[in-house]
Amino acid sequence: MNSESRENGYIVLQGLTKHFGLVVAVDRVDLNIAQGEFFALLGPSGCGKTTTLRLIAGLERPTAGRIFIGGRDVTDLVPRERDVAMVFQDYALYPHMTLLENIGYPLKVRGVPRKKLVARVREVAEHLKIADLLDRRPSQVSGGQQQRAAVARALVHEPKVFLFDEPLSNLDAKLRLEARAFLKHLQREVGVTTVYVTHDQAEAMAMADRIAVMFAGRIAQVGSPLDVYREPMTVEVAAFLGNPPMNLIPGRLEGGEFVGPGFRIPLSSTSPSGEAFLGIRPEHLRLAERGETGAIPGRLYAVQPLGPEVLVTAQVGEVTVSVRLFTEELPHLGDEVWLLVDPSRVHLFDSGGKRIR
Amino acid sequence: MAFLAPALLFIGVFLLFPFIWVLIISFTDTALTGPSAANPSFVGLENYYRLFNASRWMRAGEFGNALRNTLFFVLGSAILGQAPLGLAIALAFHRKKGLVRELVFSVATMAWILPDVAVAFAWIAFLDRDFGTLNAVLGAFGAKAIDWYFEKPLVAITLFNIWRGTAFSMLLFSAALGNIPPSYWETAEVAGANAWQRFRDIILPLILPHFLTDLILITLWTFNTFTPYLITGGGPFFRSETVSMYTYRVAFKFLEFGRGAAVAVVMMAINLVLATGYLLSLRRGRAWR
Amino acid sequence: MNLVRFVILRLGFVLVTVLIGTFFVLPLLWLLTAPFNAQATLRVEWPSPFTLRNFGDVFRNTFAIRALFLNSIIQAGGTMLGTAVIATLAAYALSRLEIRGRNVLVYLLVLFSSVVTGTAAMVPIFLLLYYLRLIDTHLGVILVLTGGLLPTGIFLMRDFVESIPRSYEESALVSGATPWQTFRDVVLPVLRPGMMVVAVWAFVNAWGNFLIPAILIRSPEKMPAPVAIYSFYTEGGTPVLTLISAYSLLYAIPVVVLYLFVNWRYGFRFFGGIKGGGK
Ligand SMILES: Nc1ncnc2c1ncn2[C@@H]1O[C@H](COP(=O)(O)OP(=O)(O)OP(=O)(O)O)[C@@H](O)[C@H]1O
Ligand SMILES: [Mg+2]
Repeated sequence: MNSESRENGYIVLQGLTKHFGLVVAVDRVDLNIAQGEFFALLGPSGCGKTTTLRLIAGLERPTAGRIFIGGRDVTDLVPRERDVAMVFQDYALYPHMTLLENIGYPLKVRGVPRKKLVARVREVAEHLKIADLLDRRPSQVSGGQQQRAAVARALVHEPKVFLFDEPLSNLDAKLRLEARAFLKHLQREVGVTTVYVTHDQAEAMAMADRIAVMFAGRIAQVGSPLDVYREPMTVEVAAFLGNPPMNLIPGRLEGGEFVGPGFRIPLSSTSPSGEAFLGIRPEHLRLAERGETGAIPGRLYAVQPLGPEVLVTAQVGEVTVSVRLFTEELPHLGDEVWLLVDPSRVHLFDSGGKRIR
Repeated sequence: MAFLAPALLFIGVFLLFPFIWVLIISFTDTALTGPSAANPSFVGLENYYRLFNASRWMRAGEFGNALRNTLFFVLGSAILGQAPLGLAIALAFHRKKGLVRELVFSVATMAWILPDVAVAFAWIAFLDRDFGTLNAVLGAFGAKAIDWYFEKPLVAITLFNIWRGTAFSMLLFSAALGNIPPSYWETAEVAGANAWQRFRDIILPLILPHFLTDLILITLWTFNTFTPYLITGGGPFFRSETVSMYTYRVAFKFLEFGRGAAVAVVMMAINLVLATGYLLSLRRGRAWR
Repeated sequence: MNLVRFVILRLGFVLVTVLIGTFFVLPLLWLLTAPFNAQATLRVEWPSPFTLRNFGDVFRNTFAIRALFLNSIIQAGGTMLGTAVIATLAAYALSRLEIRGRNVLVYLLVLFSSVVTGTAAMVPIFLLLYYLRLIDTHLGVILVLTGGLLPTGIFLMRDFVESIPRSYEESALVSGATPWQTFRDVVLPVLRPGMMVVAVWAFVNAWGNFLIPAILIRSPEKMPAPVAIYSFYTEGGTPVLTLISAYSLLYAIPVVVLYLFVNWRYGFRFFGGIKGGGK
């Protein structure tokens, strides 16, 4: 995506706001989503992702702000007039219709003749490998097949925009990985602009061209998955991404050093003094010997072997710190551990949670 | 939405409008026959004075008599009859399946849904002094024959109404019990509670709101039911006449609508008081839950 | 010791069950034996001589047969249709519109609907129909019964409507359907079992109701079965038991059939928990 198309995005949200009574579900959201882009809305439960998606679909009326799709102001249009397609978390396949009727429904309400409808549904179903299930009802096919049928229904009338609301959360772990690859592949293939809502950061990172991280109705950061991962702009974003998420140790900045509970880390650039958070990804820590310079002292909390790696958690001051060790061996650890970090890999946030560097 | 319009119209015309109109009529001498039929006139509280005339209030065929009968009828058949019996059946068959349950539930439900007139004739036969099944059964246990219609008309219609209406409570409690997750019982069972303790500590608190709902509905239904009229006609000498039958007699036998309306207003007021009382206790019951 | 207790409890349970079952069955026995008895009395006895003549005699009474097979069906059928359709529309609208206090509202209406079909409201309702010139018409009976049954019908229907996920309708809207198409294609088919239940319930209530047609219908050719049955009295005012029992049985059969149907198809119980139910 070049920056120009981002400026005149295909989907543009301007100051989008939605109140439910006293609850501010979406708060002055500005977004530019480029044509053909796979865009993920990521955030914790209740942050307003679904509401944002429903505003784009036209299922909710915004309290304030405007929505543009393909240069057209659709803010006051009903869903029918927006030419979008949406896949719901529960798929919303109608129990009384066969998969054929379900998938063909968007064509039916557009008055497409039966013959053409069946042909088009077959075509899409072939593509999604559910063509031999078209006579069945939703209850007679598996969860993964239901999910494909729901996607097929979204594809069938070649909408301008795909909207997905956690479409994978009803699948078991294995199917979810498969469906992830499948959806990403499909989106590349058909090239339809996609907004994808999820609270699973791994899903968002794996699938999206760009991610918007939302907290409490506001967009905290927008960027490519790697940018957001490497340079989280706030403590919240930092703590939300990664598995396990970034360690955040409270302390102080003094004379070019970060002073934490029982350790000091010299910083390459000078920063103003004051309270701060030190952020370290678990994979950027390693075990050190007692008393090594710059080592962070902690008390061992738990050791979890995960197969390809070992997860060690330790108590550092008031917080627990996770360390990912890329080894299959169980380390022999005493009660006390020392953790070492590459100073160029640390993140610093001021007391307000804003990134310092 | 236009979807609501027909319902609002119906409810407005047949539910709210009668409420208001009946109040107005009750202050007039509206009648279908006689001199005031053509243009009824305003008579103030006269209809109400006649209703509550202290000197003859409790006499046979007067309002007080009907009210007392109704009190007995509602207490006996709804509150002491249907609700406990329905709960007992629901409890007895809780978490049970099979033919016996199916049969008991089916006959009880039949008693509830069969047409008024059909069950009325069945009960006339059932209660007959010389040939009735009830006396035959009692006789088999050595009791002497009772002339239900002449000796115990109020008891007879009370018994009838228990028979007629228990199914509702039974079905309601059975659904309520079915909604209690089995793990609640099992936890208590594992903890060592016996059947009575389980009932007292787990079931009772959980179904208390349903108990109140049940009581509200069956009280109001029993209060307003007209079916026993088809068995006793309110007789003999008005000894089984309930308020509902009294209204019918005044309004549609004597065709004195003004007076009938006054009774109806009093009836609606009693309904209102009952419903409000229950609703309030329901709210309180929910509050501390 | 424990075994003894178990046996006693078991026996007690069986005994009480049998007693309760008997209490509900006994009054109905007469309706099953008398119609087949050429010399029926009020006694429950094995029909002797056994006969089907009573039914033949009933069928020769054209007035009573017309009442049962025409008038009752028109009145109960009309009420059934009216209640099912209007209650469905209303329940749908109520559950999809965010109206404050709607639960209390419906609850109150349900409480008071028993007044409408009771005697208290009959005075104004009679006068209302009188002025609308609907006394002694099928329509009048249908309207009054529908009005009285609607609140509970809505109440019953709400459980079904609320069990439909919103995403069904929203997905249809996003697919490009109009609100009416959404209702017709998605909501209505899913609601069909609920409508069936409400329809059967309304039919059974209207079919069995005595008071309303007794007050509102005057002319013999429009009387439904519960009123017409009183024609099986002799001039002296004594009931002809053979005919009355046979007619009662015929009149009760549709209700039994509907009950068996609903019980077989859906299981006769209150749906969605407790809120449901009511006669
Ligand atoms: N119809 C509504 N009425 C009132 N409040 C609502 C409504 N819909 C959403 N909210 C509130 O708005 C906020 C955002 O909700 P939303 O469903 O958008 O969150 P979400 O990010 O999708 O969460 P989740 O991951 O749990 O689905 C929440 O606080 C929610 O309670
Ligand atoms: Mg959501």
